[in-house]
Amino acid sequence: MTDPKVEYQWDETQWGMVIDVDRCIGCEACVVACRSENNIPTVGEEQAAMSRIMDWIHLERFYTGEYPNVRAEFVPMLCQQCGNAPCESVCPVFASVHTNDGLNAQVYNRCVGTRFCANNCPYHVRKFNYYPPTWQSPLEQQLNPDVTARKSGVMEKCTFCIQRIRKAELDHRLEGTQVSDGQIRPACVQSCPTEAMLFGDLKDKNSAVASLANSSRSNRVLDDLNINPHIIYLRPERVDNAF
Amino acid sequence: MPFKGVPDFVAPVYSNKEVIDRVMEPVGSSSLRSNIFIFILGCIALWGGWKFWQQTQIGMSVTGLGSPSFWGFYIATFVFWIGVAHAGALISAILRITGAEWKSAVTRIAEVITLFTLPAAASFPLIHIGRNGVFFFLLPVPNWRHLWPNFRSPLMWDFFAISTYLTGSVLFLYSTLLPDLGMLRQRVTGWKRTVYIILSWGWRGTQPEWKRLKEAAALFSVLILPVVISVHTIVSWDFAVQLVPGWHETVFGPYFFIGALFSGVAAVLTVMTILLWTCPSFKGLIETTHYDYMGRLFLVLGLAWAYLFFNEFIPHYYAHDNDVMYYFWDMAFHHFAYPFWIMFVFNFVCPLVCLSFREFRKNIMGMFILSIMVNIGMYIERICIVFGGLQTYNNLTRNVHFYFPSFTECSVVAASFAAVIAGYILFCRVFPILPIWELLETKARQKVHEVAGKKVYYFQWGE
Repeated sequence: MTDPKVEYQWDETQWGMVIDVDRCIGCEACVVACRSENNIPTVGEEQAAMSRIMDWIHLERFYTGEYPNVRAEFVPMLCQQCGNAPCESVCPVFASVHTNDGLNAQVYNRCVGTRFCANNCPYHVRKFNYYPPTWQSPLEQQLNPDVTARKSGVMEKCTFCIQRIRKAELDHRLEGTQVSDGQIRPACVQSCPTEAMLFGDLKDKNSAVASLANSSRSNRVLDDLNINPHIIYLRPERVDNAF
Repeated sequence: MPFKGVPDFVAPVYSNKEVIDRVMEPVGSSSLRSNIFIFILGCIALWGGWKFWQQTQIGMSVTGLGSPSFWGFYIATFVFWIGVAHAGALISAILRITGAEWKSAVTRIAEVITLFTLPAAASFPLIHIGRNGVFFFLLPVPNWRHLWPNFRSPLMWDFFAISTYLTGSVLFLYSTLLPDLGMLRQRVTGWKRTVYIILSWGWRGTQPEWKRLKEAAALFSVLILPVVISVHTIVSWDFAVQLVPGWHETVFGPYFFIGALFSGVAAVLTVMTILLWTCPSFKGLIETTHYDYMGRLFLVLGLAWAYLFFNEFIPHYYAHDNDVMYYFWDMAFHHFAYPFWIMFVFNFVCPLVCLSFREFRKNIMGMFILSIMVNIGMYIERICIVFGGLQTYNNLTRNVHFYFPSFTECSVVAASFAAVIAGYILFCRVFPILPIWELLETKARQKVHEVAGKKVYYFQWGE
């Protein structure tokens, strides 16, 4: 038991991600990997047309230039795990909470589905279960048993594949070793063919993400809202920044 | 023509017994026509309940919602009902505090509106949540997990504000109802008499009882004012604390509050007129003078609303706030152009032009139509804010999701309207809708002076 009088100390960890927009080719392998890793239900054409698609990660497309010299920039958009998250303060039941290692967690069993958090998320990455989740025929046989199940009427979102983080941490605790940088890889990072995404501890000075986060290209989306997002985008070098 | 500074309000010309008889006439009465009407309303309410049950079983997919329109018709209706519910406390409390003698005809009408619309409003956040079965997670009830709700969330503040307001206004209504229940007890027999004896808590009309009643009414009218202000300000904070352009505004507190009072007064005028038309015995108790005074209050609130309405736009225009200007453009000239300009005419142009004239304020039919128009306009305003704010809300690629309420949502909203109207009619059948003792008190206080051959009415204070 911890002594309640002792002031709470945040962990030394702050999980974060670096996404190199120059490297992203828009193949959406991350989207597919995320679906299979996190048991994201398929919604079908009709529901997708009603903006009820459940993808925890999607690609924002920005077009620059005049025809025929059009360029597309792809920005993978997932939960930014904000340090000062707007979704957390408005949830009346503490379903949206901050973890010690800087993750923005969603407690599905506590969620009552007020959708307040989704309104307040400026990135539109929180997804609502409008009906009980269903999977098309062969997909239900590859469900990941490590992921918490969601039911109709709750909000869900990217967790940075928290099941992989926790598994690595527990494995290393058993062996008495430390998690090394680059060892934990969420599904989207693992599947990226161009290695545009990188996951790691932003507080660890020697990690790859921390060094990239300090580069001159680093940029955070909608940083002017003062919500301290923990995904750093490396802006494209060739053109004026698209966002 | 009355003298300057002297109100031209005159207490009912009937004798005391006539006043009592006239107010009591609808109590206990029923007609085939109204029974059929209540039956139809009941069917609508049951149908809405059935659709809501379907929603709990199927999921929120039966609504028209989708990202980024996570809130929709339910929340707009919630704000609308809260606004209408503001009639009660404002009319009774302000008029009691200022000692307006004409109040007695409208106080209870207004309080009973609150009694039925506030539960209707409070039910909508619970209807709208995804897991209706566990709505009690939102309430601060003791539980084995020692989990408290998040007190930083405006939904939590809503719960406290609405429950305080409901408790306060029910007590306010009930305490002023006691003498009338005591009077009613004498007029009925059998089991009804037992019911009224229990309801009137053995009211005998002794001096200490009257003293306590007066004290309670005075205390309630002062204490309920901050609650009234808090309720709708907090409802506006549901929106104002969010990052949605067009919602994230400091003016929302007063804007929603004044809007609520505006629609509340309109609702009182609507109900007053319907009562006057359906209960012929109320003629002489509700008069054109009441319409004149209510119209003045209506005009002041309309002007205040218009000021805050423009105040919402102008700072953003000066600041060149792109996101918000896009929202305004979308509202005024793009997707919401028709509702927006209908609202502008109904809420701003018509009340301002019409209510400026005493002749119009004394025209019952005109006031009735205007009150309906204002409430339609206020409903559209809430719909524009809720639908429009979210539809245009996409900071990144600015996709617009067109939200349109589904049949289920419309059914549930219609059911709430049906339930409120049916509840009101049933209340009028069981309880006197005009406060008899206040009417008689006004009558007793009225004194007449002959000045230069003309009669001048004034009201004497004190016991």
